[in-house]
Amino acid sequence: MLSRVADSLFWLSRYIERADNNARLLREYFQSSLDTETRMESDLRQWEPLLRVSGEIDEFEAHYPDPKTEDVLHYLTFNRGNQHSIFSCIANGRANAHMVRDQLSSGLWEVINLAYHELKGLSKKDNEDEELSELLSYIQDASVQFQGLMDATFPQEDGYQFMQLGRFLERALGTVRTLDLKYHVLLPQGPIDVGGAVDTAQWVSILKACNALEAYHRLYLAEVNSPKVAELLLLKETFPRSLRYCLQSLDHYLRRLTGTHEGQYSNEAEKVSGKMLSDLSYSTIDDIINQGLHEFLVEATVRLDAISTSIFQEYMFLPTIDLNSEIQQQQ
Amino acid sequence: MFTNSYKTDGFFDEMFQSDGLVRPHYQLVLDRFLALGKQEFETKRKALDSLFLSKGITFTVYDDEEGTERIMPFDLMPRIIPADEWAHLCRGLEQRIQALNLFLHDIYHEQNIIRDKVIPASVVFSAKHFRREFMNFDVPRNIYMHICGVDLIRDDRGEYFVLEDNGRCPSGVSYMIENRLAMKRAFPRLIQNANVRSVDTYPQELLKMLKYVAPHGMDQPTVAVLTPGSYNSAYFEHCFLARSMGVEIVEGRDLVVRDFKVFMRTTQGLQKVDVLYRRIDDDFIDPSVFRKDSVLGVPGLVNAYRAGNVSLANSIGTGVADDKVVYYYVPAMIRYYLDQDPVIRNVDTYLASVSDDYQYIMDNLPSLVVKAANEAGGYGMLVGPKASAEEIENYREKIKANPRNFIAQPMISLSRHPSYAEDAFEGRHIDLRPYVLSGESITIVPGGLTRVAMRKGSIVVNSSQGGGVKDTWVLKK
Repeated sequence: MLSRVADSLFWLSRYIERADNNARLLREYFQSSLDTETRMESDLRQWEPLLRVSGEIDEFEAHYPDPKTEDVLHYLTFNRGNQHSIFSCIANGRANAHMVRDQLSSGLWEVINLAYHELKGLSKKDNEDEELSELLSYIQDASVQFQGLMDATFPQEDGYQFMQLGRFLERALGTVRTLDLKYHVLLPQGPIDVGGAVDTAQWVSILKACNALEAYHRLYLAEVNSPKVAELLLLKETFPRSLRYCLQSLDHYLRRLTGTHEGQYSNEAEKVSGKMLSDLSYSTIDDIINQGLHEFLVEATVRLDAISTSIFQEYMFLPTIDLNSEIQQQQ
Repeated sequence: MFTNSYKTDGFFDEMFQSDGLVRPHYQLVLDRFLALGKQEFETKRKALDSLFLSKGITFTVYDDEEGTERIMPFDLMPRIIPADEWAHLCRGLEQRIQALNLFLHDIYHEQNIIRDKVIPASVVFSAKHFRREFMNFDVPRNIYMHICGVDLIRDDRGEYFVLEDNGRCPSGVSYMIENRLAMKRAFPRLIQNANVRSVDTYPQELLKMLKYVAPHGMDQPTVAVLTPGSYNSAYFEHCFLARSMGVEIVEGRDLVVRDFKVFMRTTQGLQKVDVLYRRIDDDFIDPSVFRKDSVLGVPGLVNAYRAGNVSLANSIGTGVADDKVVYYYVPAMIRYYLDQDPVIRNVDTYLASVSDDYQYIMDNLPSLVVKAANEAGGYGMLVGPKASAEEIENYREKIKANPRNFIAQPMISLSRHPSYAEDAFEGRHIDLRPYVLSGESITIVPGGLTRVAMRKGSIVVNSSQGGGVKDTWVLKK
């Protein structure tokens, strides 16, 4: 498979997963902001944690010195200048899909192409606020369709592994980011009544943003409390959005590319992801909480980035061809 | 929608005779369209438009930073060619492509046609796309023009003429196939009853031909489509063809040349490529030989080609045969190489570089169509009868400055076809581009691209100039 194609498939799948993650997070955040009880703060600052956790706060403040709620929503949904806005994710995903159009089944291409046109149409309307929920569920539907069609129509060869790598890498980052939101919400508020109504409601929001509320109730049969939420989202090996599950998948698809046996590695990408998986497998939630949840999440992000870099170096990095020296060599 | 007000206005109408009666091979289609309510028609039309949009068969109009994608206007009324008419066209096309391939071999070798004074040396050597670097180079299987899109038109008596030969990188064939799929969706029963010949074998025929011209007659060559990239307006077509042939689509940056061989850069290292269906013009294909500023090409590709390690379709240097001045001599080539009379005639053509013709052109500019020798896409063209006095005078200066670069033709009143305009069918001018493949034998998939000048009265059918398309039905008998 062409390295360029591998790169595009990897990013196509990452962007779709990212759009999905961002849409879910935003929907949850938006809904809880409508509710006085669980509202994270009364004024505009309530959006700050969301921008902060997406790493967007500086950029945003530079663009909007005097922001309104609509500005935040627009920035996170339709703003093309924001590389992580939902529209940007879909547009970038589609640009990658376009480059590898020949690799995709027509259905797969059409899902993302239609999502793009849909968003493009919506972005030209004014009443974004009211259509927000509709938009967000549309994105989630498109993402589910995309993943379903991918499993149903994409040959499970190298290209498939690259798409899975993109999906699980992005999902891992999404889960880490969502969980870290709680830290950013608490930060400006100072200590609150742990286990109290507001605290619990916030943890419920985080579970919902990870599509994990039902799974939580089935697995724990308990009140929502922070260590268990963190355990589910980080360590539960059977929950498809947990960090550990994502790492298992990364490890699996990386080894499928090379045919390396479990517990061994043949390149840097397999090594760093295997190591991270093994750390997770041999950790308890108490270890993590003792280390500090936020600190753990920051470190996890760094390690996930390292996996991404090593995948790129191993499979996709094309040393730039120096045209002049090539031309000379050929003459 | 088909009211009694439909008029042929003295043009040759593909569907109706001058007395207003429908031509027999259109009867079935007419009945179906007459039975169609306006609302039903609109529903079908909208459904197809959104089908094209979702498939991404679009071109981009930049009205904001993101750009808006438009689909090519698609007209639901098919163009129909009866079997005997098609057989006649095939004879003419085969003959023409045969002669063009012999001509290309000749001028890159012995140049007998020049020595025998059938075509002046100056015409060949001054052609912009003549590649003297390839003198005495033998191309695989001696085939130069593997894929040729020949533009045909009909005059007011219904006679077919060749308007031009597109022998470099002709595009549009994906529309031929996609238009048919769309029509099958909109009118399944009708197509079945009408006895229409299939066009979907084109990608397989193309692949067969590409494999046939592989270096050293090798058995299982690796074929790839070489595209300028996803920003090219024909990118959809490049992907479409690669996908339907089951071969890789590559950009210049995916390829490197080592030891006179071409390789793709893959996740498993370098992999050799044997045949390239290239959709990049000669000028851009190898910056170490042609244009140095090209970033689309592959340095060393020409060396590998010369060494016989990679085959290119079309071969380098075919552009000389689709020069519009060389076009003038194609009937003479057919007589010279094949000792036959041309089955399909050329449109009468005047060369500005020939002194008698030059005078004629200058005296009659307002009634002529003048074209630049190397332009395509309807650019650089003067339609005398539709131009203002100022445009004509400006063009006159251009011709004076470089007579070699211009040809003139009488304004042909192109045949018309009922096409949907606003809310009724009206006559619109059309042309036809069939695609001719030269491999082990010459293959012409029964069909082609029918382009429609959607603007009332316009004779320019190019999509860049507001043209649309129709499905083209070649009948079985």
